[in-house]
Amino acid sequence: MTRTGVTADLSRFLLHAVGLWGPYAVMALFFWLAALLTQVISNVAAALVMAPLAVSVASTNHWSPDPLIIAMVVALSAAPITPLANKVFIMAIRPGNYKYQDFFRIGLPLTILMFVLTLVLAPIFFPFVV
Amino acid sequence: MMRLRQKLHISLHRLLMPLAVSIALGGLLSMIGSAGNIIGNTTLAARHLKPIPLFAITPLGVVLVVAGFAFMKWWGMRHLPSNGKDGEFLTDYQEVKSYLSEIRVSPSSTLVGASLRSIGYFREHNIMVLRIFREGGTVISPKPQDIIQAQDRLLVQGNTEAP
Repeated sequence: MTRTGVTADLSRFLLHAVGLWGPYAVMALFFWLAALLTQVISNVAAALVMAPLAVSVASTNHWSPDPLIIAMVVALSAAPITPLANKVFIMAIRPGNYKYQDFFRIGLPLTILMFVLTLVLAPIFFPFVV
Repeated sequence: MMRLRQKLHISLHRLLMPLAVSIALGGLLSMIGSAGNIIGNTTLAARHLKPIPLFAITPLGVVLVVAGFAFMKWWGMRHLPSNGKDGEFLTDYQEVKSYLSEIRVSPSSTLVGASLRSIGYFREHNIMVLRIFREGGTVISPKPQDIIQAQDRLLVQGNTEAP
């Protein structure tokens, strides 16, 4: 999916749709796109797809790309909605005897918490306007 | 971690997820903390933009790590099943599971009142009783003359083919 560019096209389409709603909407979308992508593909692959997008979206809108990159980076690390989100979680499944639901029950609220914090804090540390 | 768990009598189930979460969140403490961070910065550099400084993400990372810790303490501990005391031996190690098992002696069992020596079934199938868990204490190394009581839990070792 990554190689054929479908992911990138889809993301670009979505970003275009919310681009008019301002940087926060784009950032929120970036976070969730990255969070969902990393469940399906590895976080390296997800980063390779999302990072160039972040840069191009930011530059067309004359924003700093940093907050978008940060939102993506947080989503890649802090979204254990399924154990596939991160290698660490895959490693924990067997010895911990976890089920998918365990990750969902804890991971989804955790992801939402991380999302809210990032949305509020990232633009403070990394302003959109340089 | 597994050793620590045995010392503290906490199930692995409750320890590994918080551990994994903190490892993942720890990746946000610097721009080289995880692969995604590095790729993000490489992309910026490739487009001739200024990469995010190594520790610029640290303040945000610290907030997220602390929030993650508080979350796991409050929500995680409530939603990670503790497995109960009984489940400990059965769920811990997959490989041990194959030849260790637990038997609960029901009050109506014919084993009640019998000494371990007198139970022919155990001898015939090479089943060894390693522990007897009972109210008021655990028999750590059961002897042949030990008497089985109702409600005992026997930890037995045998090969997986034993019926």
